[in-house]
Amino acid sequence: MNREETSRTLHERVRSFIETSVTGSPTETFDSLACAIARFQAEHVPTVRAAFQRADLAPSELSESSKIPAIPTDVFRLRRVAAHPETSDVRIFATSGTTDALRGRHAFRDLETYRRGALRWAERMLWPDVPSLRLVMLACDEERAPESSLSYMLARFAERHQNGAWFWDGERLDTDGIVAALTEPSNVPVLVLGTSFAFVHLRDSLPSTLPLPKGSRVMQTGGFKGRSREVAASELRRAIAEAFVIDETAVVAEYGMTELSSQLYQRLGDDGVHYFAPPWLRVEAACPITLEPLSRGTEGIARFVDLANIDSAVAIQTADRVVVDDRGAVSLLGRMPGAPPRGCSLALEHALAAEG
Amino acid sequence: MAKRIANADDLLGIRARARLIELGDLSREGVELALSEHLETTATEAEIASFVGRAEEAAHCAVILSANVCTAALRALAFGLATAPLVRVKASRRDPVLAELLAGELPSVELVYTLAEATANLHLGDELHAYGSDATLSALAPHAAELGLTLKGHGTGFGLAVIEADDPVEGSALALARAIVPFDGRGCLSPRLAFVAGDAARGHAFAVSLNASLERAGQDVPRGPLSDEERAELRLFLRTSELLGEIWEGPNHLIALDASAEAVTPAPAHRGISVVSASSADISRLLTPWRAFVTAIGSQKRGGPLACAASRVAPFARTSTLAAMQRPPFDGPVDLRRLDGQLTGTNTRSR
Repeated sequence: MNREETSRTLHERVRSFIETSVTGSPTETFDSLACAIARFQAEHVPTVRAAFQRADLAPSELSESSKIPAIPTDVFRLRRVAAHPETSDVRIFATSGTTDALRGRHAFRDLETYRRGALRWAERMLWPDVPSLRLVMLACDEERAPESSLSYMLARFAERHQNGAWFWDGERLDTDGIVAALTEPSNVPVLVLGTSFAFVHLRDSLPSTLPLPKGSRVMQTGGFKGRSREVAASELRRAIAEAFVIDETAVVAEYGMTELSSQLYQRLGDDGVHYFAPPWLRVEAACPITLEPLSRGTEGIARFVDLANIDSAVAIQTADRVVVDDRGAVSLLGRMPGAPPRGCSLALEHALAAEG
Repeated sequence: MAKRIANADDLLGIRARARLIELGDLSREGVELALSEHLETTATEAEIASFVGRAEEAAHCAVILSANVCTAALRALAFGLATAPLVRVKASRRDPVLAELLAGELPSVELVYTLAEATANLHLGDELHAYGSDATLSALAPHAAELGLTLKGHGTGFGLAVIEADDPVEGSALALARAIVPFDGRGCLSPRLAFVAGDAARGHAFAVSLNASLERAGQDVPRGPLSDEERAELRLFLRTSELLGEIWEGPNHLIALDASAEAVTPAPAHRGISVVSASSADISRLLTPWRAFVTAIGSQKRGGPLACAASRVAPFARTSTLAAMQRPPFDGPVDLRRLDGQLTGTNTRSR
């Protein structure tokens, strides 16, 4: 098989894994699929090939996903990490940042696997109990932000629910529009989605609370990444719940990043601390000094194996500090000091700062 | 007073050395190098005139210091005193040594340890001089704005070295190593990125020579002990760099060579340096993402094509020879970017 055929076959295998693993009966093992993807990448992605060489590991001998050499997220800022030529790109997602920051870029040859995974895990984590929701997005729409993986994902959610209104135009948050949308008489529960900073800004500018219909919920994503106006996660969760007059357990945080194709969520009705990955994404804590995997329950920096990263790097090393417990639940503890600021909140925060 | 601190036989010099060695950020030899060779003990009249000219007048001034460079308190306090007759200085909790010694000798300087104490009784029009990371400055900005203070921030930055096509490889590597070693590369002028003119082979030859120079320098002046966080930062940088090019890791330094860079990133402090093969045509593309952070450009001689291209991208950076990168003239604050009006992603000058 040539490169494109192999990629296409791997996409099909991963989609099948997504559809079957979410119901608990995957068609094949995580490790076998992860290793097949890693072998493909070692052949066609120069930085992945270099990582195998540095690890003195022959791709053909790989049998465990935990042994796949992980590519640090910074590599996405410095090199194209892709198994395909630029002419085959259907989309490039880029990290947000201030205008002068060096941005990480993640090129995609095929977005269907991304779409499938994002929807299946959101169905499980964001709307497991209701067939339909009214969507209010404190984010830029896909047309205005084609490089935002968050906007891409939210657009797919809007398609799924056949509705969705966007209240961030790239320069300012439309608070009046949000108030109008959320005070419309309707019993359909609402899902409000946006970045942490957008929620802080909305909360600061709301004259009063905005009670949402029963069954409504909120998804917030992105931290503050060492930027100004940091709000503690628990404080933000409480503030959002108070603003929309909903229970705190209806506010769930999402964790996603440009370099990944899959997302983690907190659980509705849960404690607001732990994040859960889908079956096609594994998270391990790695020792920050040796980068070797650590046992469950030990604090380290997050190493991801994301089966949906087919045409880039299946194993990713971040500088985000985590603890992964025996259930596989992930506690996020912030970024390692010295790591450059990064994240979805930054583009919005930068523009809002410029407003003032 | 600076001369007394620089003097290893003076009581002040003895106390400074003892306390800085005990602090453990730098090795004993690193402390000696910092105090004897990098503490500002001389200045020309023209430099002093320039220094004073860069200050604005205010009734009161507070100075917030960071811990990165153990000698930084001297110039920061002098700039505060050029601004206002009385200066309140908040020393870094981690490294208060020079600030405490200077405040103990200067009646017009009051030493405090909290931000609240530093800004107590400051009013509209007073100045707050802050030295630290951009994140620290961002956190200070609302406080300064609330009090109506003029915030003069000196944030995240690094030095850039350029090696022109006709510069001698060995001599340039030696000069660059001498600029990397002081303060273990933690200073905002410390070179953490080097552009080398020529092809990949010349970049490689330069990195090999720099490695040898840094090894020798490390024997004379060992790097101070690294914290776990610093080791982790270096490890991730090393892992990234080894996938993009070559690395040289010594007991006291780390060099990353990228001979075909699409983009660049400066190395972490602690004597790390990114070496990149580049032509003057590449400089704008490679350096523009970092232009707001370049505080100093060092080169063996003035007017070379790489240095000129770099200065066009970062016009507010200090320029000097490689060897003088860590010895800026006493003509103003070390970091001239914000004072000369450059706008960066972090707004560090607000009222």
